[in-house]
Amino acid sequence: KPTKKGKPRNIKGRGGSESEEEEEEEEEERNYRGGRGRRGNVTAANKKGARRKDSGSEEETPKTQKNRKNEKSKKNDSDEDDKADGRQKGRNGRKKADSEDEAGKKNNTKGKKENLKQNSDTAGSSDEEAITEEELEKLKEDVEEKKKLISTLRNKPWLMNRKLELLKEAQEFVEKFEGVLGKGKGRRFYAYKVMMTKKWLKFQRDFENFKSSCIPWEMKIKEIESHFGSSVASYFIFLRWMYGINMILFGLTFGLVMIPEVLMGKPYGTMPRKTVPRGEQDNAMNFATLWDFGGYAQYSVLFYGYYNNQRSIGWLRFRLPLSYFLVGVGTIAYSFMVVIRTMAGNANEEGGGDDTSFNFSWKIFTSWDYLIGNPETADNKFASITTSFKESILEEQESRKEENIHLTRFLRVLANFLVLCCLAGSGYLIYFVVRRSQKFALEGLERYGWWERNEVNMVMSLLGMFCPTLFDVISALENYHPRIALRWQLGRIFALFLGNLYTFIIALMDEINLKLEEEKVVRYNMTIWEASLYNGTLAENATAPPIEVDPADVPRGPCWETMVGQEFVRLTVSDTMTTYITILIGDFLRAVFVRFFNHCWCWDLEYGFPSYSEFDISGNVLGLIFNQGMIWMGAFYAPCLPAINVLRLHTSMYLQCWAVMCCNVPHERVFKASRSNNFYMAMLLFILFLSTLPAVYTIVSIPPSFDCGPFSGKIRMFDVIQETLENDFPAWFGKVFSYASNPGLILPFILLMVLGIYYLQATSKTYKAANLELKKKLQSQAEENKKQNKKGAVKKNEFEEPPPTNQSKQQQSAQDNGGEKKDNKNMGGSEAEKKTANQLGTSPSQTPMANSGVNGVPPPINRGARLAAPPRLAVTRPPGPRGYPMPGHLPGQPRFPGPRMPRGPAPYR
Amino acid sequence: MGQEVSTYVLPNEEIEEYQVLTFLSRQEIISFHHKMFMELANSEEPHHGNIRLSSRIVSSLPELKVNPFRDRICMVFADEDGEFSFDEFLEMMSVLSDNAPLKVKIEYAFRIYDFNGNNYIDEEDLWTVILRLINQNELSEDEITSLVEHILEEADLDNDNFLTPAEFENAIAKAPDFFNDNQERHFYCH
Repeated sequence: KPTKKGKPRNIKGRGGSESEEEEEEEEEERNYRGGRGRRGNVTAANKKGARRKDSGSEEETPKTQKNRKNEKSKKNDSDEDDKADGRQKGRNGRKKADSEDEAGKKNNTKGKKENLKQNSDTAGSSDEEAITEEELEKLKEDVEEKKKLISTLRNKPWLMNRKLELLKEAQEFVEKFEGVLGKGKGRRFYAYKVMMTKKWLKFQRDFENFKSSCIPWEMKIKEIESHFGSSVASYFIFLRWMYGINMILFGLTFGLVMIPEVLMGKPYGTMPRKTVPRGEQDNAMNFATLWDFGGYAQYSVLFYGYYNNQRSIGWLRFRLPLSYFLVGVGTIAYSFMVVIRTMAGNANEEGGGDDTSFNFSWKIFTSWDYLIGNPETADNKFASITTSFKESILEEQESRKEENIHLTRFLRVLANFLVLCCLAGSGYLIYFVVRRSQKFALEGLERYGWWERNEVNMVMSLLGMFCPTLFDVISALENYHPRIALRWQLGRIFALFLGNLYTFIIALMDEINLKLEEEKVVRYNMTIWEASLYNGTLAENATAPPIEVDPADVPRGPCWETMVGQEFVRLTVSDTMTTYITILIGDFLRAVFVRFFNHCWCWDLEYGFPSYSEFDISGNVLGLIFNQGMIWMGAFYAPCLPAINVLRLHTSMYLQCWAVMCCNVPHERVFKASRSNNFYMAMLLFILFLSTLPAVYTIVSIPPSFDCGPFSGKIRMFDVIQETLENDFPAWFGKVFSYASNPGLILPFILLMVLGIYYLQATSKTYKAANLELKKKLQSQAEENKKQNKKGAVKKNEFEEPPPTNQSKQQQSAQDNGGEKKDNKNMGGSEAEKKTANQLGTSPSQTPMANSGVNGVPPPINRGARLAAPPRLAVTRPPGPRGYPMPGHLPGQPRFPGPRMPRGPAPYR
Repeated sequence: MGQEVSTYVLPNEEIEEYQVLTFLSRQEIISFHHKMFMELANSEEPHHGNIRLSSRIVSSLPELKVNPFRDRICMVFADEDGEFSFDEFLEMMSVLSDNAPLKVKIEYAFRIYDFNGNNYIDEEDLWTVILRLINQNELSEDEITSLVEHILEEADLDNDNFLTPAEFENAIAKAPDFFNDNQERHFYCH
């Protein structure tokens, strides 16, 4: 146990810049304490002087003041100048010099103060000048330094009370002398600036506090974290992140599209597109219809078709169609931005994590998940760490012999073939079902039951539920390493979901084309209908305005946009339902069954076959990602989709938190949430890209319906931009825009961007190569060093037996321990000799390192410098045999014979 | 901030000072003080005035309870008598929190892994670390020895058979997991 003195000494011995800084701080502190008493007196005089300076500056020019002052200071304390010089030097030099000079500076100020006091006491009003510019500069620097200290204090690995003391003193110092700074006119401004920075800092801190208190579900996630480790918690953090994004998407659509339409648009029932048609009115309020998002739900702000194509609405002249279009584009743009930014951030944090040269160190030092707080999880963690150690040893030895490579290959090919069959089958099934549902829809849904109406969604959900399990079974054939197996599994599920989604989209496209055909017919019929209407009325009264037809009776087109929106909304809802039901049945009921039937069953249910379920992280994350993909695809045609998704995420947060805590058990193989984070993000980005493709395609290349939606009557949806440019902007702006969108300008721009990308890629490649080169150099240098040391050791060994210093003794014992281990293993004689030689060879290099701690000269941070042939000093003697401690105990003797912390009772393992 | 009412124990200035000195937000400091520190203190026996917790009590925190290095953590963060005042306690929480920079964490991690306190991580330390991480008797000595050798091979740049702080930092700083790892979040009381 370290003694009172031992602790700081420890820190110092650890070398590095910290120890120096510490010394520096200590000195500063001492000085400051010494000077404090005096300083207290000084301040009054100081203030007086400052006041005088104000009045004085009006009488005298600063230059003369300064001159006089300089004379005075030279007379009073000549050594001060030396110190100042030293400081000047020190600024250019290294830290060490800085620390000395810190002391010098302190004395300086102290002397100055005394000087000042003398000035104000003895001298008359003529030489009232208190602080020269030079000193002001010094003081300013001091204050700046103190401020820097305050801001970096939290990074120092010291005891808290010391930090507290330092902080208080630094703050006092700053308080005291900040006001003195700044002179003449600048002073008020300076004081103001100081005040403002203080306020700003305070505001920032408060804002941070506020922000951290706004993060929802923090406690819940922490609880899960401590029970299941960080991997399960990472899912919930991902869920929360998704929730945040959807909140913003929801805010966009809700605030800029739905609310304006509700408040300022024409109310329900004024137009055909805003009215339920006569034929549907009887069932429009039925729950089944509403649940299907038909009836009143279909003819409401929730869907595309409800919006009017009026250019501006309400007293605000709100451009609704334009806003609708921009929100649609903004949703996609914002999502891209967020995902890419998060990915970049993650990549930065990982900092080249694919560097595998420290594989073992990472395994050992970072394998414990510090978030675990549950004994069971801890047990699993111990087990998984043990296996991972074993695995890594095995991998390193590469002694894994392929027993029957042909069989394995055959099985793997077979497995992939089966999976492909599954994928193709599921794709065909979905296509088939969608086509069938179209047939049902044409014949009228009323005649069919619940299954026929929800067939598509149910089939998709069921496939999503059972196919992954099937893949899991198939992957048992392949006999992959679990990590690789997990990756395959993820890839296959991803392919399944993607295939399903795209089959669905293709089927939808078919349907859209059908609807477009239908629309043509309806349009033709409509002209006939109108003509008949007018023919009927014209006979009676030619001058009367066109007669009022109840909007519910007007024939209307099929409005494919609303249909697409409905499909996506239905899909989302049914997906949510399946997820919840799966949780309730698969997790909750299973857990209940296992729990309560365990004592009247013929085998152990808890540890036997059904047992409790584990939380399926990858499946859940993939589900979330695909759900989000559907939102991105459908949000343009159903503005309510983000709202529904927010609701879904909100409820699933609570439901899944509850389910995890009450009916899941920790993973048997607890793996951490590391790198997979960006893996999931990459998937999300991919899905985002894939889901924007069809959406953008429909927006750009399919003409909007003629009688519904904000873009009705236009040839293409994006014409709304053109329209706005023509009507709402001055003519020159339109001209500029048309010039800017000229292919002659855009093509060079694109070319430039491509060139930029190429250039950046080339530079990054060069950097990588340089990095590799440096690494190689480092390695070769290390090897050379080793050889040299060996030679030197052999030579020295012949001549001298060095007196064992305190440090070298320590290493000796450490080495002895190493030796013991080897001896204990009963190695072959030659091998043991080799080892010993090795140790001999390596020993000299460690001594300088050890000594460096003693001498107070910390080992240089620069690695290259350290590797350059260190002075050869002591050599340890060859390790002798010693008793080996019991297995499971710490090998070797403890360095400090004093009482040590016990390892803790075994049961928690 | 809502919790202003409960600051009667921790005066405002102190909280501000703690905020400057740690990586914790105001709420966290307050909740650490009330929910954890005081509860831990009360669980022992009624105190008055200067509260000091022994390492034993601190390591009974739920997150530390199962940690194989809990005694080391306590030892590194406690004062010279092996006791925690609120200052030390908060320092521990600060270093283990999310926001603490990697450098500070590595600094403390080194001290935690330096079992024999000789300012180097040597073979003995590595053995201890490994033995604490695995299930007992599941790895043979040969395997552990080879693990230790591998570690030294890759991380010990100057081949002196132990890791200096600089070597340790170099080896660990790039580890993708280290960030998630030492965070130990702010363990709230559940």
